[in-house]
Amino acid sequence: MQIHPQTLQNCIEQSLKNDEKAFRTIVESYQDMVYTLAFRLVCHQEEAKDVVQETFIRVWIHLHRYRHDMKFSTWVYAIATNICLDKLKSKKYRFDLGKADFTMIDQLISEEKADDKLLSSEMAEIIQALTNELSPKQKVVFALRFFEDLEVEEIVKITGMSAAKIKSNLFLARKYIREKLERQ
Amino acid sequence: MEAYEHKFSSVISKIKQYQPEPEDAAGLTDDIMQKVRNLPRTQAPKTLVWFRVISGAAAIFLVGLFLFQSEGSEVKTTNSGSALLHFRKSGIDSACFQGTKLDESNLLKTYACYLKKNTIENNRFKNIKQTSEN
Repeated sequence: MQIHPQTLQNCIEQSLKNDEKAFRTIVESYQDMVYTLAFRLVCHQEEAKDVVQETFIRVWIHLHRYRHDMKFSTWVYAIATNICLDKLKSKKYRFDLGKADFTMIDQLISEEKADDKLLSSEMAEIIQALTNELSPKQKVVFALRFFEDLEVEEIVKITGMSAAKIKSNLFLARKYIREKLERQ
Repeated sequence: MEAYEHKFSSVISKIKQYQPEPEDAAGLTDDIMQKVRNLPRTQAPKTLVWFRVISGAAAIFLVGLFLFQSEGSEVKTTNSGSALLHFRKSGIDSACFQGTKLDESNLLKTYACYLKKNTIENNRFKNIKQTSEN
């Protein structure tokens, strides 16, 4: 759901005055964006929902810290990315992921399955199979660049990493994925 | 190489096309609002700004006080140690008390010498000089 910049500005101002209705508008506008990013990073529906909840709780608490020199979506992305990164780094989460099935990727490429017929769990498995060997930081950078189509400058703002570090992470991530795809 | 590029871009575009949606989006929004409702909103900024200003000013004052005190204590140390060092620190020419021992040095005489050397004389000084000579 797209929100007009002026409406967003009003909603932020009203939310700072504890207006729940205004904050609900913000949540409804950015919920899908956060869920999509979280799903692509944590590859799990319930975990992605937890990330969405945690993200908006932090947005509510720290809204006064938002500075207008940054796009609001970038700021929200930054919060969500940090939460995902913490999840990806946790040993428990890495253990739960287990081994991914690579045959799903072949099915996806050969177009045996139409996109709209894919289940969430299947797509999660495909993303997991593709990115499970990447480090959490590489995975985050890769997802932001290739799945979310963000420019490096915006990824710098979101992750706080330098452009050089982001580019090197992207290079390594692509190298791993290339090796993986060529092995097939 | 080309095969890989094709495979890579094909997988990426398929993933991008797929828009995952939470099973119950409205329910998720309600859950968020419910949690937010029970959260105390931090009103720290204004208090924090004042706290920072006051603590910053206090820190500067304390550092200044420390520097001032340590300078004072330095003079005290030299006073009790060597008269020569003290006068050197205070800018009085050492020629005024050359050859005199510390316990024999007369501060007023030395000061008078210093003033004479610098031709600084006033009525008050004359009175002091007379007192010392008597």
